[in-house]
Amino acid sequence: MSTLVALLHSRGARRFRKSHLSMVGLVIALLLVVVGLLGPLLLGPDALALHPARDLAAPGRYGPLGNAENGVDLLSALIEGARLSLFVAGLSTLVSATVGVLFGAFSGFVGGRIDALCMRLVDVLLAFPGILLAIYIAAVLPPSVLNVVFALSATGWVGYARLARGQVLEVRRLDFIEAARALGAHPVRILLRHILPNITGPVVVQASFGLSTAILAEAALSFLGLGVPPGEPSWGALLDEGVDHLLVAPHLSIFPGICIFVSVLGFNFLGDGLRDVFDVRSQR
Amino acid sequence: MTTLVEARGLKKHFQASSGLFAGSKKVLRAVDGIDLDITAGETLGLVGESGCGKSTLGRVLLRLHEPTAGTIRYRGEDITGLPAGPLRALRRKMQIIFQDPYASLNPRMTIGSIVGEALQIHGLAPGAEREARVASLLERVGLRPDVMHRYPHEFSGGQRQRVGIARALAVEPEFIVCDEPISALDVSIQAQVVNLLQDLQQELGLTYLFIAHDLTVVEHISTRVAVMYLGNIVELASRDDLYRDPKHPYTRALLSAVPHPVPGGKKERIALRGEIPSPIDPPSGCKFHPRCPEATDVCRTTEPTLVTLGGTRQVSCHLYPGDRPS
Repeated sequence: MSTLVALLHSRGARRFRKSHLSMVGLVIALLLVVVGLLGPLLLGPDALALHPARDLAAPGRYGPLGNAENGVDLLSALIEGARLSLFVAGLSTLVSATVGVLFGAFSGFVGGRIDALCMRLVDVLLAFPGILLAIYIAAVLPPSVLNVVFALSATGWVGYARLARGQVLEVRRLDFIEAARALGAHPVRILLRHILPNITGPVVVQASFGLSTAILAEAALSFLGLGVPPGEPSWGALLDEGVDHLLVAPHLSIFPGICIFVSVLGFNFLGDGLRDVFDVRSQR
Repeated sequence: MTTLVEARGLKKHFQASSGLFAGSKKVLRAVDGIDLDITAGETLGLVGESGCGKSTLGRVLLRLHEPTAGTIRYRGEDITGLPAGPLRALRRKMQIIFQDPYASLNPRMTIGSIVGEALQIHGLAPGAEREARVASLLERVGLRPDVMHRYPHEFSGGQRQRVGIARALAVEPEFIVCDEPISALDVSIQAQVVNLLQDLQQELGLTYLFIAHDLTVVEHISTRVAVMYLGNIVELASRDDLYRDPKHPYTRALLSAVPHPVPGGKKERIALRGEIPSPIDPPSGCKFHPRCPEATDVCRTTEPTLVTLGGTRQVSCHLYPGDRPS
């Protein structure tokens, strides 16, 4: 807890607060999380009800952002979509980061042949464009929200593994690791208490960028019809729907596009800001 | 006079691969055949230029690095091949203090948990007792006990070094390797830490291996002094003998480089030529011969052995044939 307090008062945190872009990123991220969490409360029970008479109505006529196919209110759909997109992005980032960090940290900590083997596996996976592999996995599996999470995590963990291994190699040569060994600490204790807490900074930064990548990847999968099951209004799915009516009802494409664009931008700004906070030079 | 630590033929070689696809594996001989006895209660100073293997020797003695060859005995017991379990128990007896007080404390742990971890690992001072024990350790090294809830970045180098000392003391060790414990500190702080180490030695009966390159500090603190050059001990003598009458040409050169506080005093500076050679490809014969002002033909071809001189002093140099075996 007091680490957190110290972090909030660090020079990096001050730089974060002074930087407009970082603060914009933070506000966007918080706004998305709040909307995502409170979505059902904001919407009311029949917000996503069908009104065939309002099919593809322009913004302002019935709802502020217009209506989608079968007259579903677009704003309500986007709010529901925020929940879905954030859930998929958040969970896949969490799974990727956890798996990747454990794998990479183990690899770097053990070293030697096992490390070389682990990293070759990572190299092979990195040789595929991540989204291609995710498309393949999503195409093979039946459509469901959790399968999308799986497809994104299956490719996403590799980057964290690389990062964590590099960080472990850097941290493990520091004297306090040697001191722990000299005290007779078990290797598991050294890994959990001395190494992992000291590589969290870069991982959190990476995860922030990872969230924006995952939002984009989920949108791409859903846009291709490989993402969430039909009827689930993720942003990518709404965008996909909009393409069918691009000339008659462009608002159907524009507003989901803006949502994706703004949230990706927000998490990127946040990541940039966090990089300043965790910068080693600002920790002394 | 019991021998606490005893090293025989100790070697530590590192694989030094050069380039991406290193065809020929090169070997860095950091410690290259060292015999050394450390007597209980003494402070053995270990000096030498950077890269001569002093720190590696200290770490190999504690088995933080595994020796390539040779044996280490602790209180007569061979600990060279000791498996992980008994080795962990032995760690209570031998500790280390580091050079860089900024790298030697985990920045994510409080001072209290850094010092308390040692107690936790060895099951000393369980529960509430631990906090009291940590407090008394901190007091012993001259810190206020309430610093235990704070983090390393809130402290100066000297204070951090005290925390490092408290951590080493927590397991009640007998033998401490001090790996250049003051060379990273401000001059004004150095004396305080040296005095602290000396007080602790008196109170607790500690044995030190004091690694340094500051010859003045070593003279102040040591009982005996060993001089290392490229992985070997070239001279080992009692402090007074070594400083009053250095025998090995390298020791003489080192001592002549110490600045003297008396202006206009007698100065015979022996300037060494060249850099310290690489321990990957050390010179033939006596490793010191390319820089030695008194090198002869035999030095280029034959490696000298450590011989005893005048009973207690050991020198490794062709200039000194050693005591006649009686």
